[in-house]
Amino acid sequence: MDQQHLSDIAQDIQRILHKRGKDYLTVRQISASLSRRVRQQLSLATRHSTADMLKKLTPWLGESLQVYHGPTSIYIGHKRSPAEFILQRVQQHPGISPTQLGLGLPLSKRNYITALNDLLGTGTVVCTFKDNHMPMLHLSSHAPVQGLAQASAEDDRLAFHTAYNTVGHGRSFVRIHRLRDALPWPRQRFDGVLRALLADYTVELHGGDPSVMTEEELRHSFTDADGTLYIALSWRGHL
Amino acid sequence: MDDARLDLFRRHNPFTSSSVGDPWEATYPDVPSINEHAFRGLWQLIEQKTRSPALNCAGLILGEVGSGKTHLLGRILTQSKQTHSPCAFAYIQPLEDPEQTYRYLLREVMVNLFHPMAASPQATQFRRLVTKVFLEGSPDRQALARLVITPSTFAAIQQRVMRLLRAAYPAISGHFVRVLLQYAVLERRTAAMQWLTGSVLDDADAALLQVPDRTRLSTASLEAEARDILTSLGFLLTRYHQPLVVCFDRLENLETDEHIHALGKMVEFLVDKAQAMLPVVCFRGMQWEEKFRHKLNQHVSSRLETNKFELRGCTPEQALAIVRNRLVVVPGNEQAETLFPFDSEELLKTFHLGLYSPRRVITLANQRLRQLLDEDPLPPVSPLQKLQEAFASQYQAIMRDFERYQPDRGRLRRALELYVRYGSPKCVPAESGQERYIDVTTTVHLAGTTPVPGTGVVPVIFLIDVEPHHAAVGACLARGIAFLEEEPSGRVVYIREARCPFPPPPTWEATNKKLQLFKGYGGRVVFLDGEQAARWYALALLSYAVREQDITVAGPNNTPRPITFEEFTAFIEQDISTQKTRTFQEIEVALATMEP
Repeated sequence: MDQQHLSDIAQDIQRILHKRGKDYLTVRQISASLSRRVRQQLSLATRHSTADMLKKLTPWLGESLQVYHGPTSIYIGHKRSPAEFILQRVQQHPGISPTQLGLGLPLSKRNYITALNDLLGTGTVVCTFKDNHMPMLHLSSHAPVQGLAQASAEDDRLAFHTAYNTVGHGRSFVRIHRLRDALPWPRQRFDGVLRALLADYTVELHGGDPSVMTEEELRHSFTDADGTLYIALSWRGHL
Repeated sequence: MDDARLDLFRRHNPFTSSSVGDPWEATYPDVPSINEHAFRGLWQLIEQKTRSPALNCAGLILGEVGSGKTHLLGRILTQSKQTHSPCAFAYIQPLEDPEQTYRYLLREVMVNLFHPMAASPQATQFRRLVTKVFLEGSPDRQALARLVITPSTFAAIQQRVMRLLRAAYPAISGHFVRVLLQYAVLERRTAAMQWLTGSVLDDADAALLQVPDRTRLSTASLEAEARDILTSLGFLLTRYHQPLVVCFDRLENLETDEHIHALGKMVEFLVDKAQAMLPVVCFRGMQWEEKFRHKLNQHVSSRLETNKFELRGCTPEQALAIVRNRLVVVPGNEQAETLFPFDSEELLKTFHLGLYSPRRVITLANQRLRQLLDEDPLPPVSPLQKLQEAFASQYQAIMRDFERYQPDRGRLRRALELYVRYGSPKCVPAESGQERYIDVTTTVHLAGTTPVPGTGVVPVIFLIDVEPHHAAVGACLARGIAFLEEEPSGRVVYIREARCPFPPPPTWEATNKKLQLFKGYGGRVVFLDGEQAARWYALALLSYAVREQDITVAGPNNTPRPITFEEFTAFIEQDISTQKTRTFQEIEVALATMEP
């Protein structure tokens, strides 16, 4: 088997997810979207069971992808915490009912309820009721950046996005050093989250004009692997 | 790898240039999907403006360095050329003199309208408009296939056009319509073009066109007249459903609040006063958000932000399309569909790491191509060498199309200031533009003296003159004489562009006497010939490009980095200021030969 090509499966899957605009897809959807050569190399065929397919794909998922066991299907998607999935969905659909929310997530019922209760407990998500007593979920408008950053390492992307909105005040070009200031993380953690956001095209980096910045601001910007300095970023994707 | 095919790329590397300096000179094929949202949005605005010329709107393009702002403008121009209902197009670089805001706008708009659209220098946007006017004024439309008109038909057409346009647009300038019609008469065309660009005509040309003498008009009146001409032009564009897209680019070079305010005035005028004109303004995103939007009148910034388009980085597929499009322009490789000499999977992996700007894509492709062509990396190009190349290229572009770079006192002043400050004089110029005729004020050490503070230092003023009328020229010389009378130890250098003639006696007799008097007082005179003037303009435009971060060299790890302004000033000191080129040689001589 050509190990060289198989080692790129994780990237191929990320590309598929990006193209479809999804954070996760079912194992069968992923398998069907892989190139014929990869499917042949892994001996993936539609007649195989989902469990068989999963067994063949799992070793190649790498660190950025994860398998999720939902109520009806098994999914492969970006590595996210249950809280992150919930927050993203509530943000996209404010007022969504807890039942509707649970149906659309790649989480088991138990994991979903536990994560939702945690978020309600910390006040990150709030629940109100319609006239007909139907519950509605919303993101708290007071969810502080720092609080989110500390909540869990897996919530980093959300914290990053919240910081982007808070620091940027609605701007589309936000200085990276200001994001670092808002997210008091070790450099490695910040850069790691930023690289992950870059890899799935959630953010775009910009060069800008270094001559108008202080040494410290430049130091707290971002330099990529080949030494290119980036000063600002724009949020392009969803969470 | 196929060595013969590789030779094609050795002879013509399509990735050496990653910057679109000028939308009129687009070189490489477009990738339509890149920033398609911005293009579609802008084109819709143009279509709306075509249907409703009085619609108050403007466009704002935001994108960081290398994101394709200028390229996008070029795309609008290309689209306009290919469509059945073309719009008019003007590309405007930063203005230098806020006192001449509307005259600058008028001149730049007209220079663009006079720019050839095709191989023939006759095929201009303005000619297209004039033809429509004549067609409407001609009793026999079929007979007017070309603009060849006899004196008798001309008079009849003029009368009819005047009547039609005055009836439709009572506010249209009669002088404008009259001069526009005289553009069709070959022997009056040059004078008509000069008047339309806002120049002060000499007496003979003013009489030829039967227009009032502009020498007697105040600055405010000249500005008002420029607005009047632009408004009248707007009426014509409205009548013929040809909106004019006025693109403002390289705006990072607006250094002072006055310059930014002047831009605001132009945008406001184009949006609210002139019909059928659509201003499109390009800024770097971060600078717009952090600086310019707060310095512009809120009325202007809100108008701009209503139609804001942010440019985005390329997806991997778009990046590959850029590479493919550039590869097929290589002579001998036109039919190739593959990405030869690249490995497409390897390229895709490179571009898959993030959303890269088009410039970054081209730079990465260039780096990889160089690796493929030669195992040894090419010796790095120094910033000085890069600036020499960019300067030479800009100079050649100006020489190729000198008409487009009209005599521009502000831009000549910019070049002179750069030389005075960073070249061999190493002087600190005082604030310029404070007095009507004086462009640069500074102090110099006299030749042969030791630069000790307080000793051997004399005040020097530079007067740059591009006025065609003798009265304005005489007034400028009189200012120089007055300075020398007040400051007998001072020095004055009078500079005049070659395209603004200074006819010898008996023409301009009084002005020639004044010139002799000026020389008698010790004033120095420098007449810039075409090549020298082109070098001055090239230096000014190069300074815009450096501020725009359009010029890059290989930095650490062979990654591109923009040339810094300090490197640019070193280039002025080491290259421009020396005797290698004739750029400032005569200024240097004028300063060196001054008698104490």
